[in-house]
Amino acid sequence: MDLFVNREPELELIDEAFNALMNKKRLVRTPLIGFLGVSGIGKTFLLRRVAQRCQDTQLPYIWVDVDQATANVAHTIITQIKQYTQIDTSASEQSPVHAAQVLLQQGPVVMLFDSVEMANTDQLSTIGTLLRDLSDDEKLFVVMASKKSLSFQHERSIARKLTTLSLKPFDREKCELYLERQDQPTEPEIRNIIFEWTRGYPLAINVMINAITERQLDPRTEPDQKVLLSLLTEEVIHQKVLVNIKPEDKAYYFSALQLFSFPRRSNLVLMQDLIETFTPELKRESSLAYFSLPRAITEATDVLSWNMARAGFAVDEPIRNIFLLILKKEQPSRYFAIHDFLARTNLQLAAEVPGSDRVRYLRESLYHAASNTGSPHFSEQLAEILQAVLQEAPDPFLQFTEEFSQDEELKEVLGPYLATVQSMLDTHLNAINDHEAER
Amino acid sequence: MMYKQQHIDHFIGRSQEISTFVHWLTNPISPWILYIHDAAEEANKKGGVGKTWLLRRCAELTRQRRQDTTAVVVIDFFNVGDRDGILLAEKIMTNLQEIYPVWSPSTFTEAIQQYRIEERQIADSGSSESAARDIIFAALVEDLHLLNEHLAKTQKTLVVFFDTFELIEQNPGVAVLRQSQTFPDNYQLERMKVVIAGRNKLDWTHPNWIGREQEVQVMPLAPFSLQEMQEYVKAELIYDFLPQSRQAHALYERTEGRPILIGLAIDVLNNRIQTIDDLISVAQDKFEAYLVPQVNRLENPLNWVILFMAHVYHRFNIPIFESILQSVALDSAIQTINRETLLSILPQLSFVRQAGSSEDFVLHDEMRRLVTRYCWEVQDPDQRFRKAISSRVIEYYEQELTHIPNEQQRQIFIVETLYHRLYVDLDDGLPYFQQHFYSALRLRNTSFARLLFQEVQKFSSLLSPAQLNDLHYAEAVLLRTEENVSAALEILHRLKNTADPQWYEENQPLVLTQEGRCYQRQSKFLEATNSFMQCLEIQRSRGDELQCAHLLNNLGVIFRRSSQFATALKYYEESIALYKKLGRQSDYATALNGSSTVYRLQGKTEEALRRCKIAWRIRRDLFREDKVSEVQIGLSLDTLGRNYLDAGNIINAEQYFKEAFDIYLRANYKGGIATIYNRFGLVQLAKGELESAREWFARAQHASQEIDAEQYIDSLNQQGEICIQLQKKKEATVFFEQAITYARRAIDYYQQVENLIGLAKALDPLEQGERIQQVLQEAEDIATRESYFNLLGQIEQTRGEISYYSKEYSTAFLHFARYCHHMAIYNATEFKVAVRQVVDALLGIPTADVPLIAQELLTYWSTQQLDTKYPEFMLAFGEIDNLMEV
Repeated sequence: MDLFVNREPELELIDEAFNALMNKKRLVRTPLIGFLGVSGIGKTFLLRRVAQRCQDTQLPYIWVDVDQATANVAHTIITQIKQYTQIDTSASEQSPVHAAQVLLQQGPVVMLFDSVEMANTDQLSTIGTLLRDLSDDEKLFVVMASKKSLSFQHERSIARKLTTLSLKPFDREKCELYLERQDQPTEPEIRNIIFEWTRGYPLAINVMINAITERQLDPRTEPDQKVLLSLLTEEVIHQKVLVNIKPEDKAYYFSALQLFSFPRRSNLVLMQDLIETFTPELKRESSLAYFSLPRAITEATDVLSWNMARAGFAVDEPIRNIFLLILKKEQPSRYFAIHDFLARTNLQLAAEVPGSDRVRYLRESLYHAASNTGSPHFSEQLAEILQAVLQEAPDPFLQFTEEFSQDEELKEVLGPYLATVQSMLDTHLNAINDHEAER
Repeated sequence: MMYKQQHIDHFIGRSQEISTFVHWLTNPISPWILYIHDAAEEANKKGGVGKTWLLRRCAELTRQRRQDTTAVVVIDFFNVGDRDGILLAEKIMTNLQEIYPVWSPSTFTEAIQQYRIEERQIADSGSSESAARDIIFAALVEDLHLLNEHLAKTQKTLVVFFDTFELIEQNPGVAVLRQSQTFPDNYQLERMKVVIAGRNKLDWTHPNWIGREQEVQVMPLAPFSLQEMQEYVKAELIYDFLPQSRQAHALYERTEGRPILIGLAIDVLNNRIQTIDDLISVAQDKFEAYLVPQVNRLENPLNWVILFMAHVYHRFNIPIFESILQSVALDSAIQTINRETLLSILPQLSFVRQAGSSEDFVLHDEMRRLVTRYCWEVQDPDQRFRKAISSRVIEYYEQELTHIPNEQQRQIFIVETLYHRLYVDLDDGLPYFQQHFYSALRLRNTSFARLLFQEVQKFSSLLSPAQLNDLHYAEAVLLRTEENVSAALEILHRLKNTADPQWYEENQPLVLTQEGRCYQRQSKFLEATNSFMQCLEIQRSRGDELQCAHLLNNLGVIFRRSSQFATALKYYEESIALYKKLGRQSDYATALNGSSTVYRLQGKTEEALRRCKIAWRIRRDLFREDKVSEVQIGLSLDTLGRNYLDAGNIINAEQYFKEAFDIYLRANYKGGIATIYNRFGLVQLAKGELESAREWFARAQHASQEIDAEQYIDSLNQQGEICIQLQKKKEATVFFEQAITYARRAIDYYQQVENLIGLAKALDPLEQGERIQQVLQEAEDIATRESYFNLLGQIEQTRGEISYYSKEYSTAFLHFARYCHHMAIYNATEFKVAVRQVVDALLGIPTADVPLIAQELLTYWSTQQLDTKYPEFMLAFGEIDNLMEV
């Protein structure tokens, strides 16, 4: 992915840092940047972009791929520094800090750390010490990439300077732009399919583009769709998400993640029920045994985490879309059955819990019902959910309408039914407002 | 690390409150109690304002700055054990001993050890948990007497800090040793100060606090000010945070200055979960709900611990954690928190409290509420995970309960087990509650019963109407056992009026029995009789002979106490017959003993002695068979002594009292010992040895203080009476006034009236005539309301005597006539005595006045239509009228 689209904010930060580095009178406002996101979202490409800028401006830069430098981060740093300066002291051999200080005496330096999530405790400590001891040097600019969040809480001087940015998939417009800029432009219909399938996830886009261009696959035909899905499964899921998992465990994690991709917000209860209903072979011996499941998946894949905004566990959006796509295309009946199950379960939970939690369950119930419009029970189910929504007291109802208005994904899956739903909500909202006005 | 705790040495803010505390501590005339509570009025704004931190800081400051002059003890009612008067006293003593190694609470330690040995047999000993507590208290007072001297000499003060008072605010009596003591217990230490932190304002209408405003200095605690929040944020946040910035104001608005929320916000920011701008974009009313669920990030195992702690709730330690973890599938790749790491991390969490020196931890109660509301309810809406955790905890407790030698600890574990049993399954937990609750009440272990009750109360919203009625009934029984009979009656009446008909029909006998016992305790004999009679009718229709026997025995006691001896005997006889039929030997002996007292009061000494001796014999046999304690034999010996004393056989009486005394001494039965001191006083009175009698009553007073209210009041009354006889009337008033105060506190109307009469007799009619009338009027009002005919008679006798000595004979004899009238209703024996006394009085007035007064007496009797029913009066005064016509 050598083409840059939709990364303007990140590039602006980098440009600004370079301008400051080159100008002795200015200070770098963001001396330490961390790019976060799933594999294939474009972190490494951003680092490469920085490296390219260094080459263009002849600034020395150190590139440490932690995943590749598992043996000795310090050694990697020192070795690279030696390319720019004449250091041969024993202190420098042992201390990357000293080596970097020597280099910094010559002028601005850029350090790039990729795959920081792979760092073990010792490696993190080495990086932490290095950044801490060099944090006061105004000529140092550091960019890191990681799948996991970076906090450096123990190193306050680093934490204060760290600016983190989460990389998102492309939106439709940027995806179009990205596809247009390819060497071999694709037809609009195919571009549309690529976006529908990948939801702007760069790694998945590239897999599809390569398959379409190099293997001449047509995503409009069923046989080629199967091949494409197989490629996405292999190159995105197996080679990236599940790359660190033992072969014998891959099927387990694949199934679990695929299931947990369905709910936009999940909890332990939903996780257990999903597994026991749809993959009973993964069933654990007791409820409590599911307690470790989120942590196990996170440790192994980095794609499941607690999402504060959604107040639930969620699989990272780009990966979630791929998992859902695969199942929807390969096993549609199972796909719809899971949505149907979640629509019912969320509705049931909404009936059992109070307050804002109930509103959330209702919204999720509506989402899963709308994801299954082909179901023979769809109309009935939709009516039931809407009735529950309309029966809410004014405050929770207002909460529902506010959240609904901001929920683009839900509105998209409602498709042709959106107008009807919106109209019902508006009518009820007006009635509430009228009632309030009368009072 | 997340959730980092601010160190006590780097305490932030609260300078004004600390200054108030220091001033309170050092000011010799400040009230001895400092009460800190949330300034907020709304319940949902309370909690998490930093009371615990302030309290700990104050304790730490006291330790640091006043090491030479103060001893510090910190108690947290969050710990179940701290809510038990005995454990609490033990804890305070242990701390005191550490501070004063030269002092040793040896008597107290011995009493505790004895208590531990005997506690499982308390029921059989005829004693009770409350009596055991009184024994421990007496021992404690003895030890503290020495410490008091030491404190005075060294000018040292004991400062006790009580946290989480809201957990016992409804029943602060659970944390004191003696039932009659108010909270906080001062253990009779003269140099003691107390700081209490509670969520709510003090309720000055609560019996514990009535009239005590002068003892307490109140300090409302508001959340952090903006400046304090800024100090806190500056110290903890790793990023630059500009004071007075828009962000600072917005964060303050959203956290409302509550340290617990500020702490969580800092964690979110430090962990880069959100930026400050993201955080303050959340609306204020949603802020709490937005912030707290970060604990749901289960990828951090520390959050597991917080979630577990929020549910496990009472205590959390490594074995419990490991027990829960046994059920959590731990994938080999996962490195979970090890024991050492956990032990080092937990005390550093700002919302975790460590229980004393043990390795038990508890979550701050406000944090527990937040985690339960915003994490568990989201994570586990149908409670299956929490139930699974509870099941593991139950297993842990059950395992522990098999080898806990300490009864107190066992009780705490039972309380904690109860919570989890109820959580897993109400239908399993409620029988468990009933089993332990009623067993505790049988032992009069009200502290344990109260703790059990508090746990069930937490589930009241989940109970069915019938289960809720059972719970209300249990509360009434508990309150009655705690001697709070008015509150018990209120609940029983509510049950009668509002419980569903089916439940009430099934449980009516229980409710009526409790109601009767409450009335009996209040000496409301008519109401008590009514309740027992209704109950008796039901039990007869149900054919429950044992319950009938108990009720009949109770009725016997009531009629005996109201001196309706014939009726009393009738009920005793019926109860005796039933007990005999049912083979209930111990109950049979008790009823026989009761009937013996009736015969004694009737002057039927031989019948009384026979019954008493049979009961004595049965009890001796049962004692040999190890079926009752020796104290039961002592009770029979006491009754025997009373019989001999009333019969004028002072030597035998004294002998039996001595034997009873020996038994009570052996059993360390303090209440019994005090009773026998009073008996020895009566023996001396019978011998005419007033001074010696007075000494015994004084000894009884000392021995019964805080141990047996009835004997205590009786000893005061007897001393007052002796003072009157010795013409030391001023001294007498002191005794009677003291007795009246105690009788009011114990809600014993009968003794209250007795002593009001005594007081009237002790006051000088010339100087305090008006007060005498007031006192007698108060006595008459109560006696009329409660139908105490003998006391009404005594009131009229007293009024008559006052007029008699003023030579207002017409008025005097009108009162005497009323005296006889009341005694006629009361019983035949006392009526005869009354007539004889009035005859003597009549013959004491000038001869010329006799015929007129005699005529007035006869006219009164006829006008009241008493002449037919009680002809003895007409005969006596008709004869005088006739004979004096010479």
